[in-house]
Amino acid sequence: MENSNQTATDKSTIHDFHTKLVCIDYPGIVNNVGKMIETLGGMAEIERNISTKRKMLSLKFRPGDKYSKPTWSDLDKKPGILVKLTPKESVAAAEPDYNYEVVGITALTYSFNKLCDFQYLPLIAQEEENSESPLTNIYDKIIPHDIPKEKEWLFGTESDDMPFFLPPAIFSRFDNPFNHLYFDRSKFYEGRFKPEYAEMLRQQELDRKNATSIDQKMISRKSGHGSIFFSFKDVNVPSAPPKLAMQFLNLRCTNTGAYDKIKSLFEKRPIWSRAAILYFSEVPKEQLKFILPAVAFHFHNGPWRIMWCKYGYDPRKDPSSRIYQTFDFRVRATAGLKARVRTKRQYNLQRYRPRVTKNTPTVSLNEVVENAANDADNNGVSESAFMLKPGVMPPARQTFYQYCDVHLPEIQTMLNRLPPIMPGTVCDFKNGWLPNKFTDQCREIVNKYMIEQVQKANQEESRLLMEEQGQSDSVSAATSSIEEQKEQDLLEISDSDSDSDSEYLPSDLSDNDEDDVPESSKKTYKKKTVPSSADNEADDDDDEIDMEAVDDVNKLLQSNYAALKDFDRLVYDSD
Amino acid sequence: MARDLAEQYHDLEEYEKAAEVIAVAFEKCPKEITPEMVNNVAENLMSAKRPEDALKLLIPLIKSDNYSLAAVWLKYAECLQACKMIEQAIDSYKTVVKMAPQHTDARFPLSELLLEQDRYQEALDVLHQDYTSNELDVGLLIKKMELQKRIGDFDNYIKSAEILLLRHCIEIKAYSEIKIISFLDRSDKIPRLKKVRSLRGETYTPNNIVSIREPPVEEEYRLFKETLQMCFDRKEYALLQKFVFTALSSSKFHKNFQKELTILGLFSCIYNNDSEHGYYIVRDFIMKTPPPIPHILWNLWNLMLQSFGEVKHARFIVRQSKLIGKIEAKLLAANNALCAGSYKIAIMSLTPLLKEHPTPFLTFLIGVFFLQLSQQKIGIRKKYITPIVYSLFLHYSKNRSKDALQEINYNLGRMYHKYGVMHIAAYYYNLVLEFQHPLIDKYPNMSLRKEAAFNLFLIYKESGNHIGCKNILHKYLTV
Repeated sequence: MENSNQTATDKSTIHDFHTKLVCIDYPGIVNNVGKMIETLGGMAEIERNISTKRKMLSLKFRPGDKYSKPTWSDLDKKPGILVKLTPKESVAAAEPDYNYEVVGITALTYSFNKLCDFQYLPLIAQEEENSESPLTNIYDKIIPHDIPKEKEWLFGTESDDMPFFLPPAIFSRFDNPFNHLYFDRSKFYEGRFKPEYAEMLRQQELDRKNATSIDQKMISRKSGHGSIFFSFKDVNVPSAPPKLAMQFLNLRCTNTGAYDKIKSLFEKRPIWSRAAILYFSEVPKEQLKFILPAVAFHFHNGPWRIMWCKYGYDPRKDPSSRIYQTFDFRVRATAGLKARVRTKRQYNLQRYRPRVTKNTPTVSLNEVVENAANDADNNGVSESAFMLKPGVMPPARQTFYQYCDVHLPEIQTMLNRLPPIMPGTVCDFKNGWLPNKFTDQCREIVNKYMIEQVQKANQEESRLLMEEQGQSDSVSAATSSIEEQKEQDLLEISDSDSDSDSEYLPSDLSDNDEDDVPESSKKTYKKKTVPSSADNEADDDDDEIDMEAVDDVNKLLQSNYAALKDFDRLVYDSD
Repeated sequence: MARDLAEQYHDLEEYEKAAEVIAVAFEKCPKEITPEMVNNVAENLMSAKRPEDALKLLIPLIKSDNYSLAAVWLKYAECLQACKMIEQAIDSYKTVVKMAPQHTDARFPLSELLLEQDRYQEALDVLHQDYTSNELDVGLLIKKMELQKRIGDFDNYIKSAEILLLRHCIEIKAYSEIKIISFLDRSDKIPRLKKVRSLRGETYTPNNIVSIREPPVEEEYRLFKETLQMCFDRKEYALLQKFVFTALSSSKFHKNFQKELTILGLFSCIYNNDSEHGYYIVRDFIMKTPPPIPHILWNLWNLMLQSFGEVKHARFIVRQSKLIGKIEAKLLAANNALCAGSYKIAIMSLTPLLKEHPTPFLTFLIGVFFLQLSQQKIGIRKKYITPIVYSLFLHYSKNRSKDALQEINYNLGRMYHKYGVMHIAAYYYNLVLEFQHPLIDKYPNMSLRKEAAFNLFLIYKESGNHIGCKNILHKYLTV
């Protein structure tokens, strides 16, 4: 008891943990902070990354070369504490003693543990290239190092005959080492220098094989987890889930509560969009992809396209299903609207997102962390992803709604006033049970709402801006004022009042010169990378991408298989 | 009587005598003397390099009530300056400015004088004018900019340059306006701007600033480029872009400099890492340039895609494929497919080219495609693909020029690293670290030493070789 009392009153033990910091675990020894920040794309870029919740920072070792390919960071949310040590002067040198002071805690940690990408330099041969041909650097010709005079840069004589240099934006999206070899490594060591090493490898291989059960191998993305992709023109609606789907369900989803939840949702309403199910059921995405095929089938065209429909229910025969029809809404090209609503798919690379040059709204670090946590909570789906209400913007430029989820008064009245369907009417491929032009009218209405909404948001924004800056010098062209933004961001992100520069970057740790190895690099030693899980992540991402084109590609591939074989031969011949 | 006499002397170029007559006459009958006459005489005395005499002539005038006019004071100040009585000259000039604020003749020499005395702030104050009014003295503003440039007051220089530019340009107020301004013809710009602004609930009001002492267009354009150069030298790339894009909406530069300005806009986009607008500008150039299209445009177009996220260009490639040539079109299409993750499509579009043009770049690229394919989780016959990857990389390394040996070694090391054959990867990375070449000495930016060092660092870290890690950090990864 006494002890605890003492500590409570001793001021030196009370620390301030309210200052939140961002830690960038920089792989290098930093003498020049400015140069380091340049390799990370500049302070503005770092802030944008953190505030827009993009998960990756990129590190270019040659920031002066626009073609250089970066290495990407991992993001860690585990907290760390930044402690400032100062040696006590009074104590004799034999036993050094330190004062310590907690500067703050790191809310986000970016560390670099992934391979740097392949590189191809803009060194080009004039003639056809072979191992002896001399190379010239054409970088300065493509990007002049001073402001170009007149039109010489683009339309001069030299620019016409310039060789092409067309590398892709990235070479490799897989950037963890891949340890699986296609031969038995133990055989290589057998009877050589280290027999015990061979034995160890063999054991490892055996363990690995045992760990992956046959059932798991069965899982293939091509099977779509047993889902039925139903076409509008198919005759009979499937009445029960296929065997495969049930197998997957039993194998991968042990949570029976989730299955029941989904099932009951479909009892209430026979047709659902995936986003709505995710939102209402709160079942994680990973489980949902196994449960859905066991409960419903998927329309891939027609008036209910991309919706999931209960087994045995045929909306083509039930006119009351018209309220579940798909409402495909796209934001029109009206200037200004698009600036507000993002495209759904940019390059589908986790680590290759567009650089947004516009000013990002100032976000405090707290918000970023909380948002990240919230995303995980509500399944990463917001209500706006499937429901349209007055005053809500669609999350993407193209969004699929169901008519019953479009809660705009005009549209709901239109739906209620629809004439009853005469018996004998056939469900139309394009309009379903709805009258012709109904969709167009709805789009018109929604667009009106959008424009109103954008105007309101814009006005609100400009009002806020006025308040912030004062009306006097609103020279806030979007490209400028990054400087001001920088400062603001800095202040807000580090959540501290002053000299945030020094606290902001953990690389400052390297100031402790008496340490041989800077703190930042020390930490990296301790961490164990988990390549397998990261690889999985990357692969999951891949999932999405390939699903789009996978069928086409397969067809193409089969027809071109011969060509590929030819190609094999060519490659081997050339050796 | 005295007046006639003085005039006669003046005409005979005997200014001294004229001055004497005036001095006498001023005491006797001041009404006969006009300030113009005195000024003329003083002027001529000054040009005869006798400012002291001129001074004597002027002193009685400025002391009198009737004759102490701005013009006389100005002459007096000039005389003082010529006599090297700087402090007094400054005071006199200030009197002139006070007496005739709209007059700028006194301000220039006054600011110069103050500048010589290192009194910067005062010099700038002298050149100050009211920017809230609808009238702008451009001559004065330009003078002020010169001054600010000389004393190195960059921030205020930029502000002045902005005021100068906004006389005939539209102020960019929102992100969506940048695109409108960047590449359309001017006739389109205004209506579109109006539309965007009305959406935001703002109105588009053209500024009706009356400019006096307008310089010629060429002169102002020269000044504008000077500003750009200053921004560029200070690495203020965002400012650079802002200036160029604002100037793109100019009514004054439009006629003669539109194309050049657009080129500058592209340049500023590259340096400011704004691939979005840069992309639109290059695309516009490509579409509007009659074929053959300069290769550099394609190179720049591709450069923009290095960091531009949206996948809008697939169709553009298809449409333009006739102009660019078969190989390049396929390359671009393959790049696009690679970024979208469709490796098989990428391979499909490039393999037919390989027979005819087995360039090292092409083999390398296909090698990378196959590498990606072999890393995918499912379905493909990895066993067969892996040897293809090895042989493609081998082909690349044999045919790429020796000048790029470092790059070859790096990529081979990277490939082996990816496949987990660490000892070979480390061997190649070490080759990269030791590599010396005149090209690298000339262009330090073309050295892959740091990339290799980092990857090697990762290998050591994974295997627990902490000493090796430390060595690499100290030797190669010190920033």
